[in-house]
Amino acid sequence: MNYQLKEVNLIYDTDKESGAAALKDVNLSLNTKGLVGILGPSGSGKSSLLYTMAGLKYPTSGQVFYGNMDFSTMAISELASLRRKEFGFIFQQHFLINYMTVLENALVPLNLNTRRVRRKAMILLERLGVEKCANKYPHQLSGGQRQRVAIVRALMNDPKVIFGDEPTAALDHESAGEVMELLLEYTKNALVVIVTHDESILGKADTMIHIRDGLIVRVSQPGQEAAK
Amino acid sequence: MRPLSICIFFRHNKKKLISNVIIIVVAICFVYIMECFVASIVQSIYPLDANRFEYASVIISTEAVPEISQEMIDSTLSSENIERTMPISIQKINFSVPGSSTHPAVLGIDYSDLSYLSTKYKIELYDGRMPEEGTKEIAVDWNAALNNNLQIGSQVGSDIDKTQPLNGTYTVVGILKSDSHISIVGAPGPNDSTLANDEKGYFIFPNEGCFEAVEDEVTAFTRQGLYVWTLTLYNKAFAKNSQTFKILDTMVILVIVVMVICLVCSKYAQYFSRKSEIGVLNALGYTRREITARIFREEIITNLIGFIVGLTLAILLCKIILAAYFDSIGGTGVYLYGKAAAMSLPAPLLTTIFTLIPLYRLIGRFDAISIVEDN
Repeated sequence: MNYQLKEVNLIYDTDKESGAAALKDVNLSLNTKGLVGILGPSGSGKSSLLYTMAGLKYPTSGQVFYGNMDFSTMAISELASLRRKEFGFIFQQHFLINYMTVLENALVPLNLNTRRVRRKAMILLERLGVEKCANKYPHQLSGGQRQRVAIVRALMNDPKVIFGDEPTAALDHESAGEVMELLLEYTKNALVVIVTHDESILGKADTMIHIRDGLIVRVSQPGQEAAK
Repeated sequence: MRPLSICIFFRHNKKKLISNVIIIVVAICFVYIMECFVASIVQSIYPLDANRFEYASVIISTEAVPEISQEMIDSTLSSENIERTMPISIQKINFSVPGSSTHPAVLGIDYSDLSYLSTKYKIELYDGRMPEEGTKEIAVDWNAALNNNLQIGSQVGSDIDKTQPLNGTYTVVGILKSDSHISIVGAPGPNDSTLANDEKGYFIFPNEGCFEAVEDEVTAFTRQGLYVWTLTLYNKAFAKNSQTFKILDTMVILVIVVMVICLVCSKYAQYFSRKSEIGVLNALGYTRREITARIFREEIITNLIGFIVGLTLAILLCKIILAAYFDSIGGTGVYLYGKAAAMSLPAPLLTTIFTLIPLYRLIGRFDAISIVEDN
């Protein structure tokens, strides 16, 4: 599966005269695997691009293709099912469910509680250093710990595409490095798309998308450029 | 258990579950107990008069017609429909329950008619003896005795209690048990000259299969200026006087409506506070239908638990308090009542329906990304 965006425009408040254009004539083609970074100043449309690619926002015009699937022809429920089966999402805020334990939060995407699934969750929690918090509740954790749990949750269904909206914003430098190391492992078999202000975490990115005022100003492949 | 199962939700939200259940329980208890209270009043009062009209109609003399002659009866009624006519004196005794009162009959009869009357109305002597003819003795109906706190040897009458319609003073010598709730006095008999106009009359007993025909014939006596009581006429009068109970029914419906509105608003607010949870589930790939189904299960189970617990508690409370009190004063306490259970059902049912409909629309408005951006 690869990603294609064709002439995608996303305009907020389309019923008003001065609707705000979050994305303008975006054309993009991405491989199925690798790390993609989306960079740009605040309000440039980074998150809007991410949400549009994830099927969380319908473009005002244009088409988004994930393999052969055209998002504009899919129903909301079909998009939701696609997200559940193939995508993982890491929000800027953790959005853990307050009344569930850490382990239960991690199991939410699969909604299973088998031994195999619990073991998988524990391995990921251990990988991110929060395995001892498995039976604690979100309000008992620090912000960084909650974000790490949210990352585990995003990885539980072995997604083919992982979307991260500032996934390391709440983490210290060392923890951010650990998280990126884990995500890089997934790039062997999946596409990881990260929105960030912190260019340092995208040192090993395969593709960098620079966006400003809703327009993609530059798409670079740092790895290939460095090789040249 | 799956993380999104309702068991996990209830396990982690016990206080919420308990508070929601308690509200439903209170609503159901209130409705059920009110309905049983009304039913207890009706079941206590109605049979005291109605049951004796199931076997005989009654004609009573008036000021206009102070004496009822046998000729008058023979000329009005068809002999082939009548099994027996029985002259009686009629007095009354108090009987009251919370919310209502009545005056069951106290009869004076010719003792030659006693055997027939006892057989017809299945009157049993529960305790003591029958009053001697011509004496100021009374065998009181068991229910009336309980209600007036009478035992063998007690005295009753207007001389002792001015509110008692029973003239004079009577000594209780017997307790009677029958469905007709008739009490019998030794005096005055039906031919006593001291009887007032509305204190003498006749029982008209129909032949087998002639009940309705005799009712129609007896009703004709009203044109001759007599008081007439048949089962049909009594039921009409009782229904007319039971308008108060209809008001109570209306009150119960209003209470249900108010409770449903309060419950639905409370539930709506609760789910609104869970919008980030709903938004995240949607972002993670759960469809609106799946999220609604989960909430539907939460609501159904909560309301079902509330209904079962509420109904059980209500029945127990009715049995322990209501029925016990009514039975102790000679009434009939109702604690198992289908109509009450049916009236209790709308509260949880309507709460479920009117919670789910706006919630379904609310969930549709919970755009996952709006929630992310709002936060």
